[in-house]
Amino acid sequence: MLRLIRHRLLVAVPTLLVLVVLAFVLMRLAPGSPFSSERNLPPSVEENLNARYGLDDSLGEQLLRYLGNLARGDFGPSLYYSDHDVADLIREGFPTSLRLGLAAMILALGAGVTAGIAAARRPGGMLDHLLMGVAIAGISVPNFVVAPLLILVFAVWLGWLPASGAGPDASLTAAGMVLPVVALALPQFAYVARLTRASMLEVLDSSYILAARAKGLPERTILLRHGLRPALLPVVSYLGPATAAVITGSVVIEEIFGLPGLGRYFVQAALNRDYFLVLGVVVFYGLLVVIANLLVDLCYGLLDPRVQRQ
Amino acid sequence: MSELLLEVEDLGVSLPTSSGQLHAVDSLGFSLREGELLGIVGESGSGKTQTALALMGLTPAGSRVSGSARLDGEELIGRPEAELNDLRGDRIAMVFQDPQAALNPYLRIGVQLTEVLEQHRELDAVTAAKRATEMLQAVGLDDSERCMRSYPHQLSGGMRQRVTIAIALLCRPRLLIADEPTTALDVTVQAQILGLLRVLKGSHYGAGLLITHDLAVVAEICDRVLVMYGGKPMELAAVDRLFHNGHHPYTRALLRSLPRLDRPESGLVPIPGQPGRPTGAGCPFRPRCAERLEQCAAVVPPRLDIAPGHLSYCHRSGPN
Repeated sequence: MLRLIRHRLLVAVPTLLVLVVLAFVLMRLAPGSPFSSERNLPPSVEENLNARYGLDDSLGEQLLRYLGNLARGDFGPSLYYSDHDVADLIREGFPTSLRLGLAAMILALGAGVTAGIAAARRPGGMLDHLLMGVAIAGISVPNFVVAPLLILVFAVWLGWLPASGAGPDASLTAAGMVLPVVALALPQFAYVARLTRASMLEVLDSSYILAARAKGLPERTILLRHGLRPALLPVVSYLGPATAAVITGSVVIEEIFGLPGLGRYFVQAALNRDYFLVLGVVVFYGLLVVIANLLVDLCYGLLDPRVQRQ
Repeated sequence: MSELLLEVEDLGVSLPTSSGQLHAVDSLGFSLREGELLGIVGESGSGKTQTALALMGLTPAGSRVSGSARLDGEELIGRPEAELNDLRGDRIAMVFQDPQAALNPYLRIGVQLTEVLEQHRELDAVTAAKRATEMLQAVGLDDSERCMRSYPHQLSGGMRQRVTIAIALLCRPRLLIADEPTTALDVTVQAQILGLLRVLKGSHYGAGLLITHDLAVVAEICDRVLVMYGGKPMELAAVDRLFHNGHHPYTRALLRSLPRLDRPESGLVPIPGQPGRPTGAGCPFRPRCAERLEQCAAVVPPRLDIAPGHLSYCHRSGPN
């Protein structure tokens, strides 16, 4: 177990390295500079700023220096929020993003698995068609369409929930989180529901389910004790990609609902060409996805006894 | 004469296929007495397994079961699902062909045994575990404690089949159906499993149906045999009588196709043609039958009472 964890983290290093280099190059390919937007600085000031942040060296030197700093855990300064470190900004924004992302994942998993099982009980039935219809919509409609629609219906027309996630003093409110969480969870709910339904149908067709029926066990026991675990395996494998998708989604959702999370910093940083902040968030997100995939593998061992001792 | 345990009359199973309904089992009838072991023999697709599933009430979705099957006088066919569920695993139990597939790979053996007792006997976990351990011992798994904690993949094929037999016998079923219980096993293990089924009869179950394509298995442990072809009964007789005085052309062809150690020079005589189902009434075996008559295609063969307890469904009457 420990060896698996260590191995996976070591393998993650080259992955993250490629990620950083790619992000670095892409950022520099974008036109403009951190100090060019809005503020018209005198050329001498800009030169001084560039020198201060080391942006006047060659790209290769800059990349190597950045990687060196990163290896020591130094994410560098923010170029836009000039009195903040990137690490500070991540620390500040991440709790909000984490709360949003976790809530969305839990909702998507809980509702998705339940819907998938319910649909698999009577394939082709009314409930199956209804749930899979919702799932298709959830997958097809992008969240930047879903989110404004949710705001329009529940905040503007019905007035049940606030349109923005953050309260007047920029703190989060439970009611304010409902719409962003739902908007973020919807596509993942849809995937999980479809995956669960498909794998549950396959499992219910297997010999050991027939054998369980021959024991005279009630339907609930057959579905939950005998069917659920194997049916969940594909869903568990999807959790890695789902984490990545939730991170991507939260960038949009935080912007739409005005949530002070990491995704919002990321968007702002890209617009401001805040090189170090963009890179820092990319590395952080990359690390999250690596950890999520590691957790998935560990979960696999818990679910399938045949994987355990390998 | 001992008591009648199972009485099957005019049993039919039709399955939905892409080209309409397939009559997997048609006009099948037989009975089973207390303490008896009846072998059902036939090639693949002869309707053996569907017969077993029909008795269990587990035929595939969309299938239609007709006729009658009475277990201790109680009708099984068309019974509400809830009542069938109470019978399954308790008064009728089934052992499946492939023990690897029939055990849930994600659950410990112990759970797969005790859940039956908890369902049908409402035992608490401790008592159920004790009974389950005893049952594993009864089917010859000496290290039963360790076996209870194991997952199926940690056991050998023979051990797994002993476990599925233990599961089936937990509630001392009146009727045990074993569907090709030894097909997936090594020959030496086959003999052990068959011996086990014979030894436990009476003490652990009332009567048994042994479904197989292997006449040697039938000869070894069954009392009577039902030969099926194309979903229909061909011949029903006591084992000795069938092997020495088989009447139906299909039975005799089957026996000729067996290797004989005592007469190696005679060689094997295969049955020509492929198993299949001719459409229309008449005998399903007629395309491959060496002794077919004109009426075989048009008219359903009559039931011939060759001798007491010996039935044959053929147009050729009289002993051969």
